[in-house]
Amino acid sequence: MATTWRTRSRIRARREAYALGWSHGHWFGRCEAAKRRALPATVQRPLHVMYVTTGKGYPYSPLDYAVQETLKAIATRVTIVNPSQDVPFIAANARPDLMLVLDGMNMPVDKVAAVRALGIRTAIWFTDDPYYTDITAGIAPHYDSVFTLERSCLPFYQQLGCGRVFYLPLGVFPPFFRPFNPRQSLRGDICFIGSAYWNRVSLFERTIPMIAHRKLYISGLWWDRLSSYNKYRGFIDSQAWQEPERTCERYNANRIVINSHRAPDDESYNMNRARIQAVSPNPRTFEISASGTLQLTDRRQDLDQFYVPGVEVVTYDSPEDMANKAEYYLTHEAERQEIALRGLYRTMKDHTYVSRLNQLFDLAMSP
Amino acid sequence: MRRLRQAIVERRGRAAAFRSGWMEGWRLGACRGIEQAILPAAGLRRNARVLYVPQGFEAIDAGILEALQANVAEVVLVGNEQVRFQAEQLKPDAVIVLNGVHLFAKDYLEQIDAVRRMGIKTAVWFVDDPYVTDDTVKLAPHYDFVFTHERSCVRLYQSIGCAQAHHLPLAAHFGTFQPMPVARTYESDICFIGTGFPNRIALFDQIAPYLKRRNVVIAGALWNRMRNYRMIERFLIKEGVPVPESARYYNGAKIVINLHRTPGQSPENRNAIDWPAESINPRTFDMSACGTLQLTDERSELRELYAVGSELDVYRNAKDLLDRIDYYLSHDEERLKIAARGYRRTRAQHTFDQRIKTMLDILGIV
Repeated sequence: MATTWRTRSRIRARREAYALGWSHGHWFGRCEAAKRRALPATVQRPLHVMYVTTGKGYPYSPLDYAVQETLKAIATRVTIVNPSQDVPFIAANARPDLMLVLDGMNMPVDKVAAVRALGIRTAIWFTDDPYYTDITAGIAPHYDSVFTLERSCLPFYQQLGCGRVFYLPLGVFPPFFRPFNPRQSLRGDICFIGSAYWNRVSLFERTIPMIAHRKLYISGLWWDRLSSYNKYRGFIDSQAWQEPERTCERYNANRIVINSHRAPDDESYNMNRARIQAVSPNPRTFEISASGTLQLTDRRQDLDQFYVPGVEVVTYDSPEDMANKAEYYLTHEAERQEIALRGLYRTMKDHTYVSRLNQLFDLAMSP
Repeated sequence: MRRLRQAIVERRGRAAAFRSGWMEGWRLGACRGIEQAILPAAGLRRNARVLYVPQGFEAIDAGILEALQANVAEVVLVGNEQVRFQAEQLKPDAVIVLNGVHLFAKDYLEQIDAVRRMGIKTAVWFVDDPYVTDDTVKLAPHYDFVFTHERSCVRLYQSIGCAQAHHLPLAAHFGTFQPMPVARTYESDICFIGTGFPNRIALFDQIAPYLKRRNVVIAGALWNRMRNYRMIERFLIKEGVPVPESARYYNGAKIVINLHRTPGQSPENRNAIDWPAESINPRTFDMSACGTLQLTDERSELRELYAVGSELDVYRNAKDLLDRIDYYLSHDEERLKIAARGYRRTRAQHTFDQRIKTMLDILGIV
């Protein structure tokens, strides 16, 4: 008797495992097809780019890696240097067509001036606007072209005397952010990854009680700011930045990923005396959708330029709205998948570093 | 201790089940994504009436008929004994015959001649070339237009005076061959469906010792001519399988093997002139239409229709075949991706809709 029971339960367990594997595999198969269809073909331009890394190490190193690898794919020659090297000397010998500096906090401006004096075009791409504008204000005017991921910073740099200022958000590097099968143990319903800025604290103070019956995961700094932190610490992971691969695995493992933009007037690590507002979506917006999951995001003004709300991502305008929509999509799996898939497709088609850097080349190299 | 061991076995069993579920789900998910991306063929129906005379090849007839219905205002399916009668009644713009080689009415050539005299365009599409050239060279001159799936035969028909001889490759009928979930009984690692022609017997005799302990399906007649018949008897379906069943076996297999029959003079063939073969068989399209990895021998036309190594793969001899089977059975991801790309190519380019559009253009039905 016991054996039959065991055999039967074993058969059932295997059948269930097969069905689960099937549904996961089916999803990733669809993602793969969408991704293949969307990814633009890369063409190497006859261009020699000298890329100056942030020189900051983690958490900037993945960004440096993404940019330099993409540059190699779309330019015929790439010279990579870091800000502490004798950049003008290297530039004088290598004679690149363009020097691209990322972030630029560690790049001495006299080196920029020396490279510029060689007749080499210089461009900088700011990655933390508007939160460090007190510092970037002193950097931007030394470059021929200024790229910022925050549209509201355009007038700010223009008024500083920069002639060529462009809006260029960060993108995704598909090898880092992509649909892939996460560990079974990480699977859950809703996740948020990011530091507990105060606007996020007040958001989650109100939403958590409404969604606590779901499997949640929150990770980032300062989450002990939550008044009932002790009650919720079971699903809060108080670690700083995770590797992109780990973050992406979390995104993949959760059916809904929350995005909440930092308030531009938050006092934590904010060097924005000019009080420039933030209207552009954060880099995380692209990373979440690149992972093939449903993104539930608050609505920065520029979001519509990048995703169609309700079609490629879902937006919320209050904690209640967020809780309701999360519940809706957790109980309407087919709809959730369609939106996630369209978000993935759009991201791979329009928001990879290949697209961004091609645009940067067009703008920086135009007469 | 025993309980612990049992728990480990069960966990492994579940992991293996999850894995095989994952692969099957991935395959069908990828194919679904590919299918959704391909826009339905656009274009107006051509204002014409066409009679179609089928050969009785289930999937091909269905594919052609559906494609004609999508592209021509009026299509009438006509049995080969009624061609003249129906043409007189309906006054079509064209009569299109598939093959016309096997089991057609005795007077059907006279009927075609009569139709032609009525000023109606007549066309035939040969799909058994070059194995039946003894017959087709006699049939071809009776038509205004001759289409053949076998590239090498175009010059044969031209040489006997057919001014309008064209190469038109076959295609996949997605109503019959498509990615679909199948029952466990259709699952296998390696699958071959087809008659045991001598070259196939020779190949399988060589690989039988490798196959004998594996999860294999072979279906078709005449396999008892194998020397190592004993080794394959366990998994042989002697009576063969009907066409819709073969689609299920292709779907259930990890690898499908394709081996073209040899064109030369042999008891199986009616090709006394020993006309060579360059083109691929219909199965090539059928297999790739199912989203399964295909290993095939190479005909010279293959590389124009599929990217070898990326959309399917080829083998040169028995040893090479075994190496590749081993490789693809242990590289699941690569196998799945090649199969998916093969499906994409087939779905995008090797459809009856495109073939029929080409044919209608040549017939001047616009």
